[in-house]
Amino acid sequence: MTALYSSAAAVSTQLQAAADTSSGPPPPPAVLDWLARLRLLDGVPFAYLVSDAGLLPLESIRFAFLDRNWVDAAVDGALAAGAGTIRERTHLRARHGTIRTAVDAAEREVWAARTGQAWEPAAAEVVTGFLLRSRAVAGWPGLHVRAARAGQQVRPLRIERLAPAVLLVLFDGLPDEVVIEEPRQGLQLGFEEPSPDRREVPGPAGAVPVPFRPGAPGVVDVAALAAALGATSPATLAIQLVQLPYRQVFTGVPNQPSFVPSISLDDLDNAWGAA
Amino acid sequence: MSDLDTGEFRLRSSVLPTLPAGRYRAELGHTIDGVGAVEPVTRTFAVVAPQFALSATEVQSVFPPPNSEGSYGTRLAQIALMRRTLPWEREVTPNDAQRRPWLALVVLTDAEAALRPGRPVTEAVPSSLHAALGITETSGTCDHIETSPAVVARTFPRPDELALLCHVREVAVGDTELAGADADGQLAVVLCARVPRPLPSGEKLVYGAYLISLEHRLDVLPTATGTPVPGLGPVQVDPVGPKTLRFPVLARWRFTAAGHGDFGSIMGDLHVGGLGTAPGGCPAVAPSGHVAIAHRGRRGEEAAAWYRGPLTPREVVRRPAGHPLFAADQARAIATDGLEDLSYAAAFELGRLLAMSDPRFLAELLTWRRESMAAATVAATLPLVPGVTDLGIDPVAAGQQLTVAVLDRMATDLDATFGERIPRVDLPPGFASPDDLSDIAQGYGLDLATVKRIVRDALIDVAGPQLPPAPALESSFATLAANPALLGHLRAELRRHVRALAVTSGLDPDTDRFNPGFAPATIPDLYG
Repeated sequence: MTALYSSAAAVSTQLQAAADTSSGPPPPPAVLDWLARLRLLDGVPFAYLVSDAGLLPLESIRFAFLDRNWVDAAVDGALAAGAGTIRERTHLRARHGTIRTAVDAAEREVWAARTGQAWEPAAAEVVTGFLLRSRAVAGWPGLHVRAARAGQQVRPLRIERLAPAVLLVLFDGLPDEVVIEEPRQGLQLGFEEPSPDRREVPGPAGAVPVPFRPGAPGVVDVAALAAALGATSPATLAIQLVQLPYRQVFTGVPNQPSFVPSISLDDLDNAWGAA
Repeated sequence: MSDLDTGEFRLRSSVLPTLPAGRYRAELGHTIDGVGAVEPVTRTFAVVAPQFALSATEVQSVFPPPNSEGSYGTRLAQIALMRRTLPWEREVTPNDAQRRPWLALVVLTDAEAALRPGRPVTEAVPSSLHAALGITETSGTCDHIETSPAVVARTFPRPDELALLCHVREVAVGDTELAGADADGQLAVVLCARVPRPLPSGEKLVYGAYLISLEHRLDVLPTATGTPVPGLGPVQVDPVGPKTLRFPVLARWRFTAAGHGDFGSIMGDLHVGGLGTAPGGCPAVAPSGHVAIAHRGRRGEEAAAWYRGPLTPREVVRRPAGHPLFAADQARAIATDGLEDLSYAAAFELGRLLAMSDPRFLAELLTWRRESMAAATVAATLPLVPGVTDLGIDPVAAGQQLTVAVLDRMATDLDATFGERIPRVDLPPGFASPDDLSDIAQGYGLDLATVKRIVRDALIDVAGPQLPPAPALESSFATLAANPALLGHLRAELRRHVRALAVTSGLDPDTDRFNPGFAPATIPDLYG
């Protein structure tokens, strides 16, 4: 037995070397996920993001790149917590590249896990995004944000309201088109406004002027409107008043309705089948 | 579960409950041939539905957004209710053959209606209806509005409009926050026919939107409102007469109608730019995106420093991995203009503080570090054991065996196991290069040779001047009693203390009372 350990002095040398190799298990998913969230600026106080209010004035949108060195430094700070001895630091230094690669992959899982979408495994590369400070964020919760590069979707890494009127969005890539769209779930009904005192409902047979009650403060005569539109039921009236969600595109492409409703309503057949 | 695909929606004119809310009696009769009728069984039951108040969770969304300000002159105010049958669960008039909704959404200015929150239900409903609606003194409280007959005649829906202002909307909820919370995705929507506008002068106007109960109130609604006209006419906020009509309010919110501010115009008016675009030049931003911030240095000196957050106007090339920071100071940098750049130091410190403030993360991290270091140790030492890798045994078990064996050997032969003494400063390979040492020497104002000696080879002499050995205390009371001279030290010390006490008390220590002759000389002197 003793012969096995005759080179016991070498064991202590080897113990030192052990800290220097990058073998061993990677950090557990919970740690990687935490670090990935930090990379996506989760929990970073607003003053660290925007050091002066003048950088994000009221009613403004600011596009930006994510400085990977900044978030890597923050991750280093988190990893250095509790690494006080030289051996612990050597251990960490040896694994630094492995951990960074693992967090790069975890970064893309954060949003994928929330949306339930599959994500092809690859390292996150350039990360871009924007800060939007506007009444639109406060008044229209649940804005749809999309981005594309050369027609290919650029996926979001994070879409979050930091304050009631401040939206932070990060994209996995450099898009050439960013689209912000009115929330679809809050489908609205309304009219066109040809002049401040008139309202119209566009239809297949031309615009129909909206009738109002005489002497009333802008109250629509709903029964007369339904008759003018040929609507026979509340549903047929409502479908003709649907306003498509507004879509703001940040490129040279003009604004356009984002989707066309496909109607699956039996009693609409009568109303529109005749037209 | 909805059969709609993402992005699709479906409208229904109504979803009627089988039975409107109320008290019912069910009577079961049975007749058997040749025997006759069996005595009928009678049971009573009640169908309940919200009547004077609505839980906030019953409201899915409202438009215009609560407390918002904007131009809503082309959109109808609406409230979407989670319960698809709610507008039809009660009756606007008893036994209504048309099954018209009992809820209406009205949008009124503060001049037109006054909100009375949390008042007894008996106040909110005319006393003539108390019996029919089952209201008693114990019915609790609800919100209600007070308004005048003129306002009702102008702005409330006519009986023939009630049904047109309600519908059921079915949406695909798979891609929204509603997923899971509302399985059928069907929402009852109540509309208001009034177009909310600002004052003709362009001044903002605050509106309250109220979802009111019209249960058994059909007769107060306007029946004829005149021939429709194609124009809206001016907004009227003039006095509207005494407020004598009250309606229970189930849900309410407020919004402000202003000139412009629908979603399209807000988005169109945004100031667009890259981060670092500062209209008016305030603050001053470097082209790289850095901003000069006030900074107090370690010596307390006030200075400016550069800071740039994680969002930058330009792409920044990522540094290669493998050189982790272990302290924030490693990331401090001096910009070309001589000011410090604290950006990455601040990031490091923030990451460290966030980690330290999250005990769960910290525990996971430390557990991993411990296990990882142990695993690395086993992996590195196992090959030292000849043939162990060929044995196919469990490396962890082998590692444990090895540990026991090594400990055993350490205990039996210390010198052979540990070899030479290692230097006190245990720097890892490559930590201190000659350049580093000259930096350290310069930084601390030390002689380079001294630093080299400390770091490289010399053992640091921590022992100070030799202290004289303490005298042995090996006396017992018996010894002291036998040889009172041994108490000499004690007596001298006692005398010194007594004199010191006398001095601090303002007494003359050289009087008889403090004469050393009075000091006890033997054990019996001391203890009596």
